[in-house]
Amino acid sequence: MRPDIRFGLLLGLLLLPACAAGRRPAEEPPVAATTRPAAASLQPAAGDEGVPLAEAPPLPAGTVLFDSEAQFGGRGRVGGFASDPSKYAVYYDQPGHTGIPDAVAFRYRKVPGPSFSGSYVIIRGDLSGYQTLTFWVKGARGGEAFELGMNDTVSNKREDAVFIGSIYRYLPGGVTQAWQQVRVPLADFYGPDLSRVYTLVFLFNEEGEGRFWVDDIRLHTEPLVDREAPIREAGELWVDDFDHSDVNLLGRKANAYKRLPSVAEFTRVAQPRIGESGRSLKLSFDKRAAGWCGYYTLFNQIDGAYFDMSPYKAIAFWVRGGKGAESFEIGMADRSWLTIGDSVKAGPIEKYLPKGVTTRWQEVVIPLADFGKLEWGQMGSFTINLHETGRGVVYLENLRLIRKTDEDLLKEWEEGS
Amino acid sequence: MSGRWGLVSAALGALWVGTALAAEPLLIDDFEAAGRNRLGGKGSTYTAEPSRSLALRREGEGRDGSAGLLVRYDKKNTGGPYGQGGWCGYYTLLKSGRGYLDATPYQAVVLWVKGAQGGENFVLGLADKHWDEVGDSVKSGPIGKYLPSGGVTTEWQKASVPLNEFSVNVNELASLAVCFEGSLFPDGSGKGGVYLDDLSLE
Repeated sequence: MRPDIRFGLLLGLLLLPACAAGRRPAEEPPVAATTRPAAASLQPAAGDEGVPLAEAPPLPAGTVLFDSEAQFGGRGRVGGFASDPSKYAVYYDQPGHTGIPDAVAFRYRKVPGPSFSGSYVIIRGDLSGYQTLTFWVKGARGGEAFELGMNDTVSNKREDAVFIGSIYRYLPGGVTQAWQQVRVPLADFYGPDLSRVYTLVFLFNEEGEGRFWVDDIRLHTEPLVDREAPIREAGELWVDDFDHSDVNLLGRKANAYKRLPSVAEFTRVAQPRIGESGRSLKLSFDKRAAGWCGYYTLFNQIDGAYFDMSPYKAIAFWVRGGKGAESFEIGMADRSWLTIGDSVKAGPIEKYLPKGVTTRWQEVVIPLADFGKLEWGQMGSFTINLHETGRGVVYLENLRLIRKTDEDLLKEWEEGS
Repeated sequence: MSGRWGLVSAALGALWVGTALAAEPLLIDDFEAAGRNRLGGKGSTYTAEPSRSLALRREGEGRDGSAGLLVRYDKKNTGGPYGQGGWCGYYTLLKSGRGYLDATPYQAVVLWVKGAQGGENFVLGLADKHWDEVGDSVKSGPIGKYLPSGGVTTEWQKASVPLNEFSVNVNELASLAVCFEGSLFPDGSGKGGVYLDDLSLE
């Protein structure tokens, strides 16, 4: 779905100085259903302001660089990539959040269709000794959107950055006209070799145009993000709101799956949706007698750690149909089921919606116990499996995992004895 | 006389030096906040089936009426790895990010403890960088050894476990654990609940 990143387009590289830097289905969603809690910030130890990018260690000796990377890829330099008619511009300009005139200005225009644009800041350093990357951002109007990605010195050569999600994953309120600090756990960049980081990438994946500034990129040896606290506070983990990125809010891949002649494809659409802004997932399908199709979202990192779902008791989402009466099965896969490419089904959607799918939003809450005996500490994926022959469209919103309460845990403990 | 004054002077000097060098206690966790401990590290249970443990932060059940931590344990003596019933306990990370905790300014691990019924038992486990890498820890004696009454009761008691009992590199500490070892119980199995509060280094 996402265009390849064309780092061959170095025309925009500007040789400027390095920067210093237990529910029932509801008929309509309540407002609370549209509100995703922010990740909690951990206070850095006194005196721990991190180090500016300029002070990060260089690439390890012997790191292989192309001539162009070695000659023009100085730390702090900026550049970009685009295919017509989408565009980008990137340069240093006005005072940053500290007042020093060294903020990087990004401008973009992303038009509908397959064209792409993005920009990057060259890191060219060894970040393996750090836990958190921070930077400051502000927009000209607010609401500017981009995805964050990273290239190491290998992926840069094959133009294949790893993306970890939209800026909204880190700033649930989005970019505003005021400077805000963004805190990114470096562990989120699963895949790149953190000892050989080449660029920090800003991909303009959302249609529209905008201008924003980034300033004061710093690196910290301490973790500065607490993702557990808001989950405990809210009692739920948001897996995806489908608003800004094809990557879910865990930073994992999501996609349609199909085996011909059955087909399914997804887009994220502004209408219908829950809430005043954002998007829903639109899943279009043509299920034939042969083959299969559906949609999945991953909890685990591909080739990485599986997801511990044992603190949760249910999975919840909102659904509506294009015409009504659409049907699908809800599945979950642990490590074993993921390996064989299938999932355990809790049942058809009608089991949880007595009236079936209609053209109005309805909330679905499925106890995890309905999926049977899975290895909950080693979970892989959630699936929407379109099992009935026919064409149709279903819309999904706000996929969440509901956390067990203390009372649930105590009851479970007593039952386990 | 001058000899006596010399001794007094030396004693006072030693007292002054000791006072001057004593570090402020370092609070590891008072369990007032959900999520991470006061050092930014994760706290959670560890288990190997069939043994079980459950840790819950409990409002109003701490030492001074604030929040405390309830750790329930169910140590089995059969099944699991090597047929020993598995293991269970609670750990809290002392290392932060990629850095280990330097505890050389401190003399002891201090915590407040009471039992749900009295008579519960556990040991503390302390892991330095080496033990962290092998996924284990060096154990203290049974907790009663460090309690004024000689055992866990239903009243809050302060335990002070000297760091030098652990034989670890205290300048590179990784984690602290509350371990319900089979050897603490008559037949290798035990079940109960302990409340913990104000875990610190002094």
